[in-house]
Amino acid sequence: MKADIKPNLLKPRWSKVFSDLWDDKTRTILVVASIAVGVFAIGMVITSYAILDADINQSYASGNPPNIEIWTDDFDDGLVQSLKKIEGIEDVEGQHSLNVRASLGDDENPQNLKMLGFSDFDGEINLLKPIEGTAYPKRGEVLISQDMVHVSGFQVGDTLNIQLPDESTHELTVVGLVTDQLTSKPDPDATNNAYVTMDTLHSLGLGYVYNHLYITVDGEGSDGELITNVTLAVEDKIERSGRIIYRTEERLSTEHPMTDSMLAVVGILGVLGGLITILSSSLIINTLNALMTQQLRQIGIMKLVGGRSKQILGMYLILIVIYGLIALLFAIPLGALAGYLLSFAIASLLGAVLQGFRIVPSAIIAQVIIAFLIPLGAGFFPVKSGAKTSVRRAISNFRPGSQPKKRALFNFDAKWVSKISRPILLSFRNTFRKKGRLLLTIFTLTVAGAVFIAVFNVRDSMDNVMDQLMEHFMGDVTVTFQHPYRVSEVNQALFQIPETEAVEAWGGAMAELVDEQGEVLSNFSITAPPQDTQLLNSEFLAGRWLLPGEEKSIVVSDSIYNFYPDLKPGDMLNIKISGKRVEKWEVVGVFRFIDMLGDPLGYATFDFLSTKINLPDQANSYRVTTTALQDISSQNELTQRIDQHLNNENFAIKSVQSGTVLRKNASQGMNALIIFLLIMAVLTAFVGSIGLTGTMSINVLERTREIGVMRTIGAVDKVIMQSVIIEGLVIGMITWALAIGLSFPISDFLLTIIGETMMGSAMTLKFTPLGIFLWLGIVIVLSVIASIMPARNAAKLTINEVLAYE
Amino acid sequence: MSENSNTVIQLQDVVKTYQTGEIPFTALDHVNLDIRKGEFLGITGKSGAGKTTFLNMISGVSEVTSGSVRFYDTAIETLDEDRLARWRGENLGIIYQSFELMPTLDLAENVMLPPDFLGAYQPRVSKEHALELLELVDIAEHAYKIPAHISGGQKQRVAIARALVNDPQLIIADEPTGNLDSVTAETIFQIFEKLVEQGKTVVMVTHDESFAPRFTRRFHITDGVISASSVTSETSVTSDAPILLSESKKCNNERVSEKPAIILRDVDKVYENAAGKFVALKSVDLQLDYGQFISIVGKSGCGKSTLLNMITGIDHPTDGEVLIGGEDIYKMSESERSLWRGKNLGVVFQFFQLLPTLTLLENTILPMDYCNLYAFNERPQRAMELLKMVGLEEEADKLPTAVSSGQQQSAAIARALATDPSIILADEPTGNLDSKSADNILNLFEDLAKQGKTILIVTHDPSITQRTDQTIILSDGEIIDQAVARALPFLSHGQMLETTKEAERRRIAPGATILKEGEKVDNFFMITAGEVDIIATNRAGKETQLAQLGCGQFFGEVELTQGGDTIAQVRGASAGAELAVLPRKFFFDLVDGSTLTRRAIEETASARLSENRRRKTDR
Repeated sequence: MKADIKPNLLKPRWSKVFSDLWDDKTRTILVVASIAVGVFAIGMVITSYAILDADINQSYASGNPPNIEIWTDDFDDGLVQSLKKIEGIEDVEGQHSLNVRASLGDDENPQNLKMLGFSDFDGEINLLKPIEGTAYPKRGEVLISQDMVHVSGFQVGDTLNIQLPDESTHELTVVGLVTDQLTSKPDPDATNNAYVTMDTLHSLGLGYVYNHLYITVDGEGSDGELITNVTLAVEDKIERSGRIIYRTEERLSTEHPMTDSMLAVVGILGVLGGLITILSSSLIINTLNALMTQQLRQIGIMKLVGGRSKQILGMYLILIVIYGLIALLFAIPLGALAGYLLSFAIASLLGAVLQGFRIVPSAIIAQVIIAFLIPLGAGFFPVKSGAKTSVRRAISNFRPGSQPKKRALFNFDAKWVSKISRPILLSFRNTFRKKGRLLLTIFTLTVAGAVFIAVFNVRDSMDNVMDQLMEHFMGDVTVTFQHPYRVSEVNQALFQIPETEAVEAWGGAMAELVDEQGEVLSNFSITAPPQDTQLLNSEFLAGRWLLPGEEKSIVVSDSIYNFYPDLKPGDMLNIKISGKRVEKWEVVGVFRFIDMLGDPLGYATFDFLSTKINLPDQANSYRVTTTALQDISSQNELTQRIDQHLNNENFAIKSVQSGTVLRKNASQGMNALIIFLLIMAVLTAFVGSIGLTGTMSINVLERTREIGVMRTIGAVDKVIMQSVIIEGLVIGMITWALAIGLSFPISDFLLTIIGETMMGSAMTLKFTPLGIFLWLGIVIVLSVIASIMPARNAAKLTINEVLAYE
Repeated sequence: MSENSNTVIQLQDVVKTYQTGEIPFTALDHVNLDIRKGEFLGITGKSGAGKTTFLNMISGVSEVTSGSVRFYDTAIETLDEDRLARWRGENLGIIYQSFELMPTLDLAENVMLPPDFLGAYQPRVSKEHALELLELVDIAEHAYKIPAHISGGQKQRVAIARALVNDPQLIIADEPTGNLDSVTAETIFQIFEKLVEQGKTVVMVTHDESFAPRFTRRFHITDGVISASSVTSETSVTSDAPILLSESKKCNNERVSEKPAIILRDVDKVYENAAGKFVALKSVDLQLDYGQFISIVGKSGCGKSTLLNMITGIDHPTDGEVLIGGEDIYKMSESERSLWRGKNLGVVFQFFQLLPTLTLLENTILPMDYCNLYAFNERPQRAMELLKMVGLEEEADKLPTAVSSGQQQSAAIARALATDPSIILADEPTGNLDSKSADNILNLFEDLAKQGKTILIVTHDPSITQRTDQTIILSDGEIIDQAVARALPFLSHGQMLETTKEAERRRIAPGATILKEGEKVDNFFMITAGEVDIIATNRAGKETQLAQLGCGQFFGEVELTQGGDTIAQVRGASAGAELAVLPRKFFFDLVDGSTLTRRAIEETASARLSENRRRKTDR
C-alpha cells in the first residue's frame, strides 16, 4: 500500500531537533528552567530598576518637596512674606510643628505624633498624597501620615485624644490618611505625622504662630548650589530677626533622598540576578553535556549517513536557541510582573507612587540577549565537542568519562580495604567520577549556599548595626519630658516601679559645627549621658571615652571625617550650641557610628553640658534599664505602667517609649531589604537544587547499566538507593563546607554595598550560625530529594531493562 | 583504479591495532582484499574476530594503523572527518545489526535524513523517493510511524531503505540479521540478494554460517587474519554450523535427578510493544542437574539470552514456572530476588560489567558486601584467593580499564564466585575475547564444573558445545530435541525444530520389538533415551546382537535410503528406550532439503550395511 505523499516542509534534521525537544520533556523543562530563572531574575531587576529610577524621583518631584526645611523660634506670616522676597526663592510656607501624644479613647498607651499646623492645605509645597478619606481637614479634624515604615494603626473616623505638651487633652477626628514622602525613610524615632489646620491649633490654644519653614527655590530644585546660597540668606535673615535656628535641612526636588540607597539595593539584587544567570549557565553545560553523551550514537549515525560536524553543530545550537526562546516566553512576562511588584514594594516603602505597570524595553532586550547568549555560550563547547566526536567513538559503546583513569580515587592499601565497606567506597568514588560535572554542580550549589548563608549574616549584621544605632538613643524604656526635670526627682519616681534597675539622665543640645571662617558645616547633635553610662558600648576608632569632670571635651562619631578627614584626638572643633557663642571643644575620642542620619553626633559630659545650657542637674530624657522581659507585650505593659505612674506623679511627659518596640519599627525598612535578599537567596537555592537534581538524574541515568549489574550481584533496592543518596549527600556536604567559606567574602561584599549606599560606611560583618545550619538542613533535604527520585527510578527498573539500556 | 574499475574498495596491507589495558590488541592483521562491483561479499567469523573492525576500515569509521583503504582512486584515510562524512553519504549505504534509526523521526523522515545532510533535500521529491524505497522494502504502509512502533525486521527494512536513498556505490551491512528471528532474517537476506541482482555491491558481516553459501564470495576472519573460505555452495546448502555435541555423554532427556538445580516448566516469554507481540520463548520445559557444564546455543535472536534471563530472574516469564534449587524465584519481589541471586547465582556477562570505579579486588568483594556473606574482615582475603585462582593476583589493585579484556572477564568470574554460588550463568562470556583468552575462560569453567559447580553458558560459538556436558539448542524460542540434533547435526536449526515437533514419541519397553527382520520400514527412528539392540537371527533361529544404539543415534535409514526390508531386528534394550519417529515422507523431504544430512545418513547406512554383510558373512 503506497502511503499518501505529504511533503515535509521541515527538513528531517529540523524535525529531529523539534522532536528531541518534545520527546524528552524532563530535559527540556530542566534546561528551560535553568535558563528562565536567570533571565527572569535579570528581567525583574532591570524592570524594577528602570521603573524605580523613573517613577520615584518623578513621584517625589510631583509632591514638590521643600528644598530647605528650617526649625526655629516662633514667627508669624510677616517673616514668611519677607523671606519670599529673597532672590532665588520660589515659595515659602510656615507651619507650626509640635510633638503631641495621641490615643484612642481609653487606650492608655498613647503614641507620639509630630503635629504640623498648616494655614492652607492647598499649599504648593510638599503635597500630601491622600490614601483614604479627605485631604482637607476642617477645624477639629486631623490627617494622619502612613506608609510602610510608619503605621499608626489609626483609621479614618477614629477620634483621637490628643495630649499637648502643656498636658491639656483635646479630641480630634481622623478624616484622612495621607502619605508624606518626607517621612518615608528609615528613622530610629519612627513617629507618624498629624496634620491640622492652624485654626485647629488655635482652638487648642496654640495661637497662629509658626516655628517651621518649607522653602522651595526657583527652577526645578535641582541646583544644589542655589539651594545652599538661598539657605544661607534665609538663615541670615532669621538670625537677624533675633530667632534661633535649631535645625536646617537641604534637599533636591528631583531626587528622592532614598533613591540612591534603593537603587543600590536593586543593584545588589541585580548582582545576585547576574550570579543566578552564571549559575544557571553551569546547569546548562551539565545538561547539554549529558544530552550530547546520550545522543552520541545518534550523532555517529548522522555522520555515517553524510552529516558533517557543522551541520550537526547547527542542529544542536538551534535546539539551544529554541530552549532560550521557550525560556523567554516564561521569563519575560514573569520578570516584568515581578519587577513591577518589586518596584511597587520599594516605592511603598518610600511613600512614592508608581505610574503603573509597564514593559521596560531595556529589560526585554537584556533578557533576549541573556536567554540566547548564556545558553549558547555555555552550550557551545559541549555541543561542539559532541558534534566533532569521531564516528567510531560515537557508534561504539564509548562514553566520555565513563571509564575512569587507571588509578582509583581513595585507593587504599590492601590492609585498609578490609576496613571500608565497598558500597560506601563505590558511592564516594562515583561522586568524583565525572569531575567536570561535579565541579559545575559544586560551583552552583556552593555559590547558592554561600549567598543563602550570607543573607543571614547580612541580616544579623544589619540587626547589629541597628542595635548599635539604637543604643545611642534608647534604653529599655526611654522617658522624654516636655521640659527638664531634676535628676533626683525623676529617679525617685522611676525607682518606685519594681522593674526599674537603673535610671540614666541624658542631656542633650542642638549645635552646629562651624569652620574657622564661621561658616556652618553641619548640624551637630550633642548628647550628654552620665559619665559612667552602662548603655553605650561604642567601638572607638581613636582616643577614649570622657573622663569625669571633663569640660569642653567631646567624643565624636566617625562621620566627622566627612568634614575633617585627618581629625585626631587632641584636635579642636568649633562648636556652636543653639543660642550660644562658638567655642572650641577638644576631641578626645572618635567612635564608629552609622552615618544613616547624616550629621555627626557628639558626646559630652552630663555635668558640663547641663550647666552649659543652664539646666544643671536636670534633663528631659531618661533611660531606664529594667528587669522586664524583652518581648514586646511585656515591654508595652511596662511602658504603659511607667507612663501612667509618671502621669500620676504629675510629670509633663512627652513620650514613654519601649526600646524593643522602637527597635522593631526602626528595622522594618531593613527587614524589607532582607526579604528581597532572601527571595534572591531562594532563587539561587532553586538554581542549586535544579543543578543537583539534574546532576544526580544524569549520573543515575548514565549508570543505569551499572545499577543493573549491582542488582545482579545481590544489591537490594535499599542498597541501591543508599548508594545514590550517599553520593548526593557527599556532594551536598562538600558544597555546604565550601559555602561556609565563600559566605564570608559574599557577606562582606553585600555589607559593603549596603553599608556604603544606605549608611555611608561599610558595615561590620557579624557572623551567625543560623544561615549555616539552615543551609545544612536545606542541603541535606535537597540532596536526599535530588537523589531519591533518580534512585527510586533506578531501583524500580528491572535488570533486564537496565542491561538493555543504550 | 578509476570509477570504471571493477574494484570498488581495495584494502592494501591493512593493520588495525587497539590499545586495551596494557597490551595492544591486533584486530586486523595485514589484510589485502578487493571488493568487486556487483558482488555480494560475505565476511564471517566469531565474535571478536575482527569483522566489525573490517567494516569500520572500509567505511572510514576507524583509521588504519598501517596500510591503505582505497575507494576507486581515493585513499580514504587521507580524508578528514567532514569529507569522510560527505563521502560516506554519497557513496555508502550502511546498515547495522541494531538498525540505528533516529528514534524521534518517522520512517519517511529517517529515510530522508541522508539527502538532507547532502543538501539534496526537496520536500516533495525527497518524500516521493523515500516512499518508493519504503515500498521497495515493503514497509511503506508504516511510513509515518516512529521506529518504536514497528518490529525489528521492519526497522531493518527502513535501515535498508535509508542506506539506498543516495543510490550508493557500496552497501555495507554489519550483522543485519543478528537481532532477528530466522524467518525475518531470511526475508532481510533476500532483500540483499535482490539488491545484488539489481547490480548493487553488498558487503555483509555475519556469524550466521547458514548464509555463507549464498554469498558471491566469502571470507573468514579469525583473530584479525582474513582468509578465503573453503565452504562452498555445493557443500552446505542450508546448514547452520553443525553443533558438535560431545560424543561420550548422554542426552539430557535421560537425566533424572531427585533434586535438579534448575527446572523450567512450560515457560513462555512474549514481548509486547507498539509493533505487536513477539514470542521469545515458547513452552520451554527444562531440567538441569547440579555439577554440569551446560551450553545454550542457537542463532542470534533465538531466545538464548531470554532463557538465561528467566533462570537468573533478570526477566519475568509471561507464563510458566522457574524453580532454582527448588525455589520459585518469581514469587519473590525484584529486590528479594536480587539478594537471592547474589547468594545463589554467579552471573558473567559478555561485556564483563565490572564496576569501573572499583579495583578488581573491590569488585570481587562487592557481592559479599551486598549479601553480607563471610565475616567483614575475611572478605578481602577470600576475594584475593578467587583472583589468585583466575590468575589475577598481581592485578588485584588495578581498575578494570588497566587490564585486558580477558583479564576483565576472569575478574568477572572471580566476582561471580565470590558468594560461592552453586550455579554460574554466563551470557556469551567469550563473545568479546580473542580465541586465546576465550580458551582460558573456558578452561576456568571446566575446572569449576569439575569442582561441582553448575555452569550454564549462552554462546553462539558451536565449537564450545564440544567442551560442555550438555547442550541446549534453541530455535525461535523453542528447545530442539537433543536426540534430533545429535542424529541430524547438519540440519538447519529451523529444520531441527520442525523435526522435533513432527517426530512421534514412542516409549519402548525392555525387550519389546520395534522392527522385525524382513519387515517393510516406513519410518526413521531416532533414540531420544535408553538404548535399542540390533539383533540378527540366523537360519537356525539363533539371535546375535549386532549393535546397541543409544541416545542421539538412529536406525531405519538403511532401509529408507537403500530400499528393501529390514536387515535386522530392532528391540528395546534391557532398560527400554524412547524414540522419536519420523514418517517416511517427512524424512525424505528433510534429507532433500539438506544435502549434508543426506550425505551423512547415506554414509551411515552404507557403513552399517557393509558391517551387517560382513557379520553375516562371518557367521
